Amino acid sequence: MASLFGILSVGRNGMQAHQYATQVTSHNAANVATEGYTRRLVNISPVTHTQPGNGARADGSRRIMDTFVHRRLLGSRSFDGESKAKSEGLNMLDSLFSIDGLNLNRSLDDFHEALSQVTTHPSDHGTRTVFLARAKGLTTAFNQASFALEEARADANDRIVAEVKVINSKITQIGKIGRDIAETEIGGVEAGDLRDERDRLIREVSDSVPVNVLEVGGGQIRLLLGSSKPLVSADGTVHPLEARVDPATGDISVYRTTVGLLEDVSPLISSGSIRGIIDARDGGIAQAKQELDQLAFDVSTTYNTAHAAGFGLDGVGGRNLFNTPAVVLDAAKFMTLDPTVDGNPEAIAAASAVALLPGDNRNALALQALQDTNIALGGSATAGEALSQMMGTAANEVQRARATASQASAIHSQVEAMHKSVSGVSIDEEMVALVQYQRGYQAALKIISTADQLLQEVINLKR
Amino acid sequence: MRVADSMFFDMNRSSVALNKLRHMETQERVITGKRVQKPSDDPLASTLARRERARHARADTHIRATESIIADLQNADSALSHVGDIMIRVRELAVLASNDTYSAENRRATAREVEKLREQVIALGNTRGENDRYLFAGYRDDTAPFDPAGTYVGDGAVREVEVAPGIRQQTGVSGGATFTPPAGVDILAVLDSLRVALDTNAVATIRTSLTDLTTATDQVVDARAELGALSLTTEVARSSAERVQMHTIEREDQLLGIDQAEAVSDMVQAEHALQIAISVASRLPPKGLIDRR
Repeated sequence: MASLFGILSVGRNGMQAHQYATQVTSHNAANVATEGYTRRLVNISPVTHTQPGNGARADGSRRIMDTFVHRRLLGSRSFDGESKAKSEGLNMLDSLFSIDGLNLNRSLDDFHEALSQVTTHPSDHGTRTVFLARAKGLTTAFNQASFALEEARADANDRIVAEVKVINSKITQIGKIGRDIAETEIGGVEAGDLRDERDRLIREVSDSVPVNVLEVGGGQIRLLLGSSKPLVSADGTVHPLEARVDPATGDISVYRTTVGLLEDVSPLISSGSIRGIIDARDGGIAQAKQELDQLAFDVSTTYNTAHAAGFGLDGVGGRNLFNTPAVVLDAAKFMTLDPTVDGNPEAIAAASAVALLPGDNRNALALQALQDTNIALGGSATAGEALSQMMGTAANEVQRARATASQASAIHSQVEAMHKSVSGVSIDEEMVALVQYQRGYQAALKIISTADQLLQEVINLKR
Repeated sequence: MRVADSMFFDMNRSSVALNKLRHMETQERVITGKRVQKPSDDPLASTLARRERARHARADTHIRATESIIADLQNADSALSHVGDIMIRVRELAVLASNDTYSAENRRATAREVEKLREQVIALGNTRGENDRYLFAGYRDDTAPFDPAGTYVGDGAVREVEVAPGIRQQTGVSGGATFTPPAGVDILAVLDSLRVALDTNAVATIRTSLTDLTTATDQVVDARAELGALSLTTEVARSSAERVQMHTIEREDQLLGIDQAEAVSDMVQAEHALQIAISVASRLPPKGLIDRR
């Protein structure tokens, strides 16, 4: 049975519903530029008690989001973070092997040039002094290249430690927001802004490590590292990561404690900036270091053997030119002139026979001939060719990493656009909605004034 | 597809940024004249360019070596040319002295002149080249190859130096092979025996010494011919090293350099693209319903 007061309450409900809807629309429009904001839709439904005809009611709003696209967004951010970090990590190889400036290439050429001068003027003190300086320059170039690679490695380790710290702080916030959401949503209204904040944090974590989100209902989620190890449990418990030195390699690795046991989880980190940093460190940088050490080892040992076969101006033979590296590891780092030769130009063994000093240049010629001898890469290349190959390998690696990074960034923008296409605010839409809700509000007002008029008529009937 | 407002801004932001980067890169190419700024820009070209650099540096060492050889060869040649002149003079003197009209007195006077000329030959045999090294001493080039008595005490060796990749060349002629060759005559001994013959008025010996004097002169001529041949090949090595240098510079430029016209047109194109991106971005936000109310 309908009543005039019933109509009044329909009008009141309508006013309230459309007022609320206008507020949500304004919230959307105001957040058009807010990073990570998800547009909301108002839930307006008819009020039904026992009989129909009680008007409309707004019961909260919901965020418009495609969880499938969001999952892809997390993946694309991880890939983007990985390839960017790898490319940045490898960039130093470019300057290390650049053909301009004082570096390995130049030092090797200078060394050969000075050696050629010794063959021309074997007894000249000045020529010998220049040769020693060039030989020293070559060792310094090896030392510096080795140092730069060590530096890059240490830098990578520092960055992993820093990244893990940031991840831990973010997953702690995610756990706390999860509990807040559960409390807020007990009333049945979606806590949109808190959920936005949580999603934003999850996306930021995905820059560093690959994550998966499992919805467990009631606004609760489980945040997984990769697809198995929880970083945040459904009840908001946080399982922090730990960056510490792997005793096997001496480098930083990422660990997580599972039921009291410390476990290396870096194999699970298949993407994200931490993976990119590790790949650059253990890939291109480590390879360049290994090749550099091998070259330093080969150059030292072969030139030493040839040098020891000759005699200095003082008639003494059997002296090395460089120090003798015991192992390949760190041969470039510790490469230096032999102490018996350092600062002693007379000791340079240009002669093959003591009796033919000082003009005998045959041992210097033998040293010079090493320039064309395959002393490097297991006897398959000259020192110069080995250097070219190192440069080529490194340059290819850097180029590939850069190409992957730009590809990843393009993919990410595309997925980001897909996500925004679903969840981003469109001012036009909100304007249409505003018109709609304004009309609805006006209609509700009209209903009230109509009911009022009808009531007035009823009151006037008695007169 | 639904379009959210922030998508416009994202798109324009990245399009302006990308075009700006391209513009800067094309400008950098034009300014530096280099297409390849770092090895990763073109790994293959960089590797090849490194090889050209090394080749250029090596050609440099060959140019320096040949310059030093040429100086030594010239010094040796000028010394031997003097020795040759002296031998001709000595032979003239010997011919005159073998004449029956010459008295013993005349021959003794000629003996003094031959003695002086022999001393000059010793001095020329002890000629020093670059860095004060004795040119005809061989490896032991810090010691005079002829002692005051005119005996050769050098080791007769000739130093070799690399003048082209893997190719070595003599830096002079052997003092031993020129002055006391096993198959020829000891020039200073010949001069000394002539002096003795003149002093002792042994006309027959003077006459027979004419043959040895001819052989000695020929030895000097042969040595000079060898020096001439060496000069020639050294000059060839030098000019080929210079050509290698020119070629490597050209090659490196081909590998790493820009095509000027192409680079400038790329830059203009990038400039244009940037201007378009900026003018599109300046139209933001797009006109919408909000402007109608």
